[in-house]
This record gives sequence, C-alpha cells and structure tokens, in this order.
Amino acid sequence: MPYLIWLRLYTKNEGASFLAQLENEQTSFSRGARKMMLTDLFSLQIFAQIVKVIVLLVGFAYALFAFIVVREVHIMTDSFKNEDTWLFSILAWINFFSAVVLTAISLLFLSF
Amino acid sequence: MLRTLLKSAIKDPTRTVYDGQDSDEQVLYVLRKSFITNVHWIFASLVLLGITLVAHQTFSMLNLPSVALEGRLQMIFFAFWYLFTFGFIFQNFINWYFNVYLVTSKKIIDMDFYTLTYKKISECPLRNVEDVTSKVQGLGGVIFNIGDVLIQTAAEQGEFNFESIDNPSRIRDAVSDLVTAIHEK
Repeated sequence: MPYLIWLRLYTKNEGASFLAQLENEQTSFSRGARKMMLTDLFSLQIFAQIVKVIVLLVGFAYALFAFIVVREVHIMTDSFKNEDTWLFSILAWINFFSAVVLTAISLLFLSF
Repeated sequence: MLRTLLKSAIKDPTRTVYDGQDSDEQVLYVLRKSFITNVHWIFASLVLLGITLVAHQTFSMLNLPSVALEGRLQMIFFAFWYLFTFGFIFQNFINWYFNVYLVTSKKIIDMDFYTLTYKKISECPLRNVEDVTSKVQGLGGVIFNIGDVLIQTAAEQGEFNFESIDNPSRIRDAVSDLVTAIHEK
C-alpha cells in the first residue's frame, strides 16, 4: 500500500517533498523501509525518463514520416491530378503539422 | 467535387490530367483496383481504433496509479495513437487512390506508387496494342465481378496488366473498341 501512495505522489511531482517528510518522520518508517523506497524511487525515475525519451523519439520519427508523406503526395499529384487531389495535399500537411505540434507539446509537458 | 473519391472506375472524368498529357489528348477512363481490395487495411484501422477505445475504458475503470500512464503522458500517448491511425489510413488510401490505370484517346498508362519511395509510370500508344484479354478468377472475383485486364503490346513494355479492377469485361471491350478505331483511321 505505501508503494501505491508513493507512485501517486511521485506522479504528482511531489516526490521531493514526500522524501523530506520521510526524513523527518523517523518513527513512521524503519531505516530498511526508507532505503527500499529510495531504491524504488530511483528505478521509477529512470523508468519515467525512458518513457519520456521513447515518446519524444516516436514523435520525431512520426513527424519525419509525415513530412515524407507530404512529399509523396506532392509527387503523386504532379503525376496525376483531378478535382479531388487538393484534398490529399491539405490532409498531408494537417498530418505533418499535427505531428510537429504534438511533439512540441510532448516536449513541453514532459519537460526534463 | 468528391463525387468520385471512392470510385474505382470513372468514365470521361472531368478536370483530370496527368504528367505528359498532350494538348489534343483526352483522358477517357480512370481505373483503380476495386475498392473491395482495401478491406485488409480498413479492418486493421478498425482494430487500431478499437484498441484505443478499449484501452481508454480500461484505464479509466482501473484508475491505475502508474508513472508510465500518468495523466499528461496518457493524453499524449492516445493523441499519438490517433495520429498514427490517421497516418496509417491516409497512407493506405493515397496508395490505392494514386495507383491508377489511365486510358486516354492516344495511350494507355499504368502509374505505380509503392511505399514511400517507389514510382513507376509506363505508357503505350493505343496503336501498339495487339491483344486485350479480361480474366475473372477466384471466389471473390466471381462474387464481386473483379478481375484483370491483360493488354498485350508490340512495344518493349510487353504486357500491361490492369489488376483487380471492377467489371473487367466492360473495360476490355472499351479498350478493344478504341484500338480498333485507331487502327481504322
């Protein structure tokens, strides 16, 4: 149960204050329990950083893919054009800008 | 506008041009693979969307206090997932839409775009067409009247294959009539 409380506090960026509180409350937890929690926190921090890096890498990769799709649609519409092909150019650009904006938002939200 | 977006065979299309079209040349037919051939990626897209909906429900029901699926991260994860799904659908749709076979008043043209980096355009004058054959095979082909039209040419290209098109007999007949008309001129 303390582990779950821990996780919840950590995700709310309150891990640091919780640690300080932990240091003061000598009677609440044994030395062994505190050591175990610190180890857990360290693992969680590494895990959280890995998740953030993966999210950002995926964002950049998808933005690159979306840009290639924009170029692909450009080449396709150069070769064949009819009354509907303008729609694909717009959708390709929307896809690309969405990817860029989402990656930027991820960068801000998951600030390191 | 957008009337012909999902059509796989369009006769006398309006405002349709291709790269290299002559000023006195008209596009008579725009042909694509039958829309039914898209079923596999449409199904995959529905599965991708279904997974997202199930995941949404599951996470909200369980209310897991997980670092990896913390509020903001969860929102970003699902936003990316929806964007990937859109990209997947879009990529597959344009691959179907732009892989066209054109029959013009002068030529037949086969445009192939595969993956992101492959483009192949073949063309042959109608006067070089020697033989036109239509072929319907398999259970799906017979049920949906989908098949191939093989166009044998005298040119180096050899053979054009209009694959998995709707009503191949009608297209074979139309191409044959055009070729006959060209030869009789």
